[in-house]
Amino acid sequence: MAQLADSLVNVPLIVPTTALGYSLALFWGGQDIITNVTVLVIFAHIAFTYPLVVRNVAGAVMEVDPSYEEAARTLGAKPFATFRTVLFPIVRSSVLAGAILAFTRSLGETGATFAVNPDANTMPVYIVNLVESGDFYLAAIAAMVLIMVSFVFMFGIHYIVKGEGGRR
Amino acid sequence: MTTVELRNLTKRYGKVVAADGLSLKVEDGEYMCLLGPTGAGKTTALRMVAGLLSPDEGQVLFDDKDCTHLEPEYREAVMLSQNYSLFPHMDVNSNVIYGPRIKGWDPDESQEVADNMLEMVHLQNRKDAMPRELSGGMQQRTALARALASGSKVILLDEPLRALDARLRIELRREIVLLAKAMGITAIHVTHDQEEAMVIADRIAVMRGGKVIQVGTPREVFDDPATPFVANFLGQSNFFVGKVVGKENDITIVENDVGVTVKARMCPFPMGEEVVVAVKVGNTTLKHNDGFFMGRVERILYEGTYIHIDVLANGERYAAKVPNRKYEDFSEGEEVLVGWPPTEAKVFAMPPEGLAEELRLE
Repeated sequence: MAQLADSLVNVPLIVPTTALGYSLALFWGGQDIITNVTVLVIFAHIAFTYPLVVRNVAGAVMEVDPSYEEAARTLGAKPFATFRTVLFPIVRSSVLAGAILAFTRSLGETGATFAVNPDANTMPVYIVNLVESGDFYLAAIAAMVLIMVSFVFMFGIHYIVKGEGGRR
Repeated sequence: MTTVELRNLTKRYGKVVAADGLSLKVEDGEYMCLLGPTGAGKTTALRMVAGLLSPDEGQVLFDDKDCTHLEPEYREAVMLSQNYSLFPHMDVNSNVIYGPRIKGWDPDESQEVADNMLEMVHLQNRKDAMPRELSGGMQQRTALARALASGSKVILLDEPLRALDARLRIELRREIVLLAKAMGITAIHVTHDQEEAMVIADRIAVMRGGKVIQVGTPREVFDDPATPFVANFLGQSNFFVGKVVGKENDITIVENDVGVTVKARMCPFPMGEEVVVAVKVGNTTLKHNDGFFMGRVERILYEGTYIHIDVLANGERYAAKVPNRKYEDFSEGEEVLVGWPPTEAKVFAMPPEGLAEELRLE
């Protein structure tokens, strides 16, 4: 059961994001509970980025020696206090790293966004539109900005992971 | 005032029985050692006291109150594990003050308790250090301070000295006992090291196969073991198998199937009964002119203060520890007489599953 859930988490990573976005648009399009397309775009982005966070955090949690939590419990901490004061701080860097990975992935994504809402003007969609209209100069500048932002976050992860690793 | 009682605890993992009707009562302020070979169920017992493990059957009582299903944080029984489990993201002070803080004590009072504890373990100068910056001994002392600062009435120690080198181990075990006694808390200390148990415990509970076989003061379990296993586990014993052939003046005479006779303490077994005589290695004598039977010296080991001599006699191996000044008296291959003072040898009924099985260290 746990193994099944574990592999299901990975499904959004293997399904092409365009297919994911299209199926989400089909599913949510035929109802009138949520009609705001921006919310649907956010849904789509959550769907293909959350495995990155889950992977990272689950891996880190499994590596934490259960004796830390046991020690905290026998010292008088209730389960939630144990999570807040012991487990979370120990895996905090992995939560952050997962969040940054998810953010960068979301930042550069076109397929799902386009499938859910062709008018959503996210950065990559904007670049595609610029290229299509022949505005290569502006497209190049926008692409550079996107690449730089992604790089800054990648270095951010590197710094966080290394910093926390050294403190252990 | 805290007594801890285990009543008939049973815990199974599939086919493995980690606790098999385990019963033990630890008195208020007592330092109790759970001693036994690996796999005897010592840690399982300790975890059931801590509330980290739920027994399949039986009860755990604190001060005669049933706490079998009480969550660990309400038990006031703090666990000190062999890897210390110091929180890696907190400095020494934050680790030590963790218990008072999480229990919501007054901040000033909490800091005072933490300061006192740090002083008691001589770490007041390392308050700001992170655990990874400390030596093994300091980590151990920090963990001890953290445990004692939590205000718990019971401290549970799971092989707390295992990861330390021998010298430090001897120093720290003294400190632990002194602190526990000074604070008047009840301690249950798990160890597989019989020497450690002998010197620190008020009483020792010898465990095997998920059961307590014998409870007594170090002297009682050493001098008057309940079973051949206990006789061998504490201080190593030599065994002689035979039948009771005579009793005179508080002494039992036992003869084996090739007619060798030895003497031992008085015993309740009838004439003709098959018995096992056990005598501690340290009480076994090797002489050239006096003893019960002849043997050939097989091996001599110089161990420092003592020398260890193995002798082969009647197809069995007997060991003796004699002071090192006698090193010149023996040589490998020579014949010696093996003997012992009859009052130092105890007679046991032949274990139903055989002597080898009885002595096996799983």
